[in-house]
Amino acid sequence: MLKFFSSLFILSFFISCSGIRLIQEYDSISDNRINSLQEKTAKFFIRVDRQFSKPDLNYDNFISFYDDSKADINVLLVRNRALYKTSITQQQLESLLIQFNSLELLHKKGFTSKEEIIIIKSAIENSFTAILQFQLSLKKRSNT
Amino acid sequence: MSKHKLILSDILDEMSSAVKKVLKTRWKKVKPLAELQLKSIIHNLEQIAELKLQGKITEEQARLHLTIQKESIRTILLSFEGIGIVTAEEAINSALSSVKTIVNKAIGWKIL
Repeated sequence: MLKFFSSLFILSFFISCSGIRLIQEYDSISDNRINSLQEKTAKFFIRVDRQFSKPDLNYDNFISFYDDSKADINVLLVRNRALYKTSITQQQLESLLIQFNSLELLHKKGFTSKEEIIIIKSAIENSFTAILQFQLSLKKRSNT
Repeated sequence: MSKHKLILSDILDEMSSAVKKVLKTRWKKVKPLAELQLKSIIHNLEQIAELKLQGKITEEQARLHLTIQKESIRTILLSFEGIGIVTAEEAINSALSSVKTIVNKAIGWKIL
């Protein structure tokens, strides 16, 4: 009986705390910044697709896009490192940064076919979808 | 003293049904999109191999393409892991709150 009531006490402690938190809280600033980076990236791919095989596709014309995007990811990384239990978001952002670095290197070398761009676009879009899906699940939880 | 008898099996049943409910609804929503994403990555990997075979890209370019795809898979799996943790958390909290009613009813006053 004593054992049961002590279990009940522990249980009541957990319930009275506003629920158990195993992972980060939803951060609207990070979510908004990821959304705007995704928008910027979508515009980049539209521009690349339109200018394919034209001299405008030259890497030098896109340096500002790479600088801005990588700066955005770094700002997000610094912010998330300062927040509690954000290891998954941090790892996802690190992955995204590697993808942008590889994309930049491929662009520097010059894209040889449209298929190349389609492949990269689809992979980066999948990454954004996955990151935003996770953010959405955090948002839904914070609303419940 | 107590209005109802506090039966441990009732509590466990209630907790387990709360957990099942959360897991079932959440995974139903996540699974199809994740499958679609992973399928498209597999298709991309085939395309990279094709481009390399056709000599349209060098080995170094192929390696950079593979890095992009590999990191994409990583973000998808991390998302899986994250949503899994959120789901587990929801399931635990839902199970705990389901016990609330049973315990309060059994004790006869609002202990939780």
